[in-house]
Amino acid sequence: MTRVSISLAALAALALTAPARAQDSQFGIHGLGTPGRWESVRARATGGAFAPFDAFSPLLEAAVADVQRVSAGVTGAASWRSADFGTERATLRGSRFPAFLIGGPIVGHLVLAGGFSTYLDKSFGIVTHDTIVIRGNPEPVTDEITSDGAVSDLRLALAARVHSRLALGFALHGITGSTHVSATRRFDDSTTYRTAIVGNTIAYHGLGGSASALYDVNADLRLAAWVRSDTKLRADIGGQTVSTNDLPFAFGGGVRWRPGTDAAIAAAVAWRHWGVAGLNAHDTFDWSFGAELGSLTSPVRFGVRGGELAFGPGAKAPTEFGLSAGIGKQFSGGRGRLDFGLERLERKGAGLTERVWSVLLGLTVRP
Amino acid sequence: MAPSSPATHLSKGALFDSFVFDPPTPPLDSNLAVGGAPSARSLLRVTIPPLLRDSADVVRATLILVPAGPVPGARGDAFAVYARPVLTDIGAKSPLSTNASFFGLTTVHLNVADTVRIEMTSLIRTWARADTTAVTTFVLQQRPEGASYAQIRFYSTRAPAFRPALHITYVRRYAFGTP
Repeated sequence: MTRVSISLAALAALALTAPARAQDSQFGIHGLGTPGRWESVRARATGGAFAPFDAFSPLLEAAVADVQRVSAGVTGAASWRSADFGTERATLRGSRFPAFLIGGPIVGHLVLAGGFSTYLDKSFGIVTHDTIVIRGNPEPVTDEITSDGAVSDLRLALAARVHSRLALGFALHGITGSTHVSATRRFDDSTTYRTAIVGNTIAYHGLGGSASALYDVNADLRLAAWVRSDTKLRADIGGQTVSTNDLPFAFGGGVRWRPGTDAAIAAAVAWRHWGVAGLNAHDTFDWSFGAELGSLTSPVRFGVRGGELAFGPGAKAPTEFGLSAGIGKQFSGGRGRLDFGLERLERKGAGLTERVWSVLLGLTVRP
Repeated sequence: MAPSSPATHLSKGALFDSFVFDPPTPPLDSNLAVGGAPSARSLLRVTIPPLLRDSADVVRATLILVPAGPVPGARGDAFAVYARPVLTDIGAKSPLSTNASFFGLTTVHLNVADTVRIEMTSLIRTWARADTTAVTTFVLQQRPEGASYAQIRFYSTRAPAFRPALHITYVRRYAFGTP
């Protein structure tokens, strides 16, 4: 008897009995994981539209060029999720610190920044029930597969304003992380058949590079463009490589317009060729539109986003649509800023619908 | 000299408190004898395949022994046979493990020639997880030994069709790291 291969659809369905572990999406379970969002709370509250223009969003390094003093920003998020598959429903929750960035000028106009963000979230727990035939008799079994960990994107970025209208940035990305995984098969007839448990720690390694530019058409209109290429994600167990997956080439852009001193609107798009990353992977296109209203000391933000998920069962990528809003508050004469955000997402694909509420908290300090 | 007084009675204690038994001459075959009087044991050596060591998890292991014939005796009578690992394999006089959690036990009914099955999951799981230098030998013996004339004889590896076998059910290791 060998472990029964479980179809992805069944996984998605049966994952509804999963324990409440931190996980960003059911759709990423049978892929490489759930790609992280390279956005600060400020950017996420605008649907991600302000991410190309926000120095503390680990998306576009050219934006770091406008950091005048050493500054640091951290993002925290807590999410509550419901997953519906047919008549089944499960609720899950999770919390994480998906991004951190610190940067400041080093020489002249050159600004150096470093930090980390979630590249792939790989925390999940699924439970499946089945009946298999052993020694001629049907035996009910329960399989539990858990993974706890993530792959992080460690970024070292250099940016400079090479012209009053143009800022350029480059970054090297070290993609690294680990997950502790375990697989357990329990037999209902536990007297006759013993429980099989196997666990391991998987280490992940990869490299990437990115470049970006910000161009000010005029004082009110700013354009952004970025490109990023990651190599391969290598998975090692006990020092031996067990798999290698291609990572995507990605590019995107955005536009921000300031119609007045207390208003800014932005839009952004991004293409990521996740389809090269193995089974159940899809190329994605994401769009976002958002606005920031009010003074810089206490702005109000809102946004809308849509797009596709990189991993999911079937030939078609699952889709995502979200609304978000938030506020910000500067304190200590601008040396610190707190950002709050609320995000509502709906993801659909292969009969599975996910609805997510996320509460976001960001802190930026300039000592 | 006075004559000694005659004895009025004689008393005599038991010379032995056991029984006299002439065991039959063992048949000249290669079968595995277990039990009887004096009690016989059989030693079995197992080779654990590499698959079980590095790629699978044993969930059930059953030792299958085919009797050379029914054990003669009183109708309805029975005795126990158990498989017991050795601490080190030095042949017939190998010291036996006292860890009862690794013992396999079954009941043999007389006048029945059914195949004997002994569950040995704990022992085989332990062997599969141990290093390759571990001793993988066990002894078949009657319990209690010397308490029954009944002796069962199983076919050995020299009878390919009926040789002892281990029926192992395993779960292959989950392929971590691959999406």
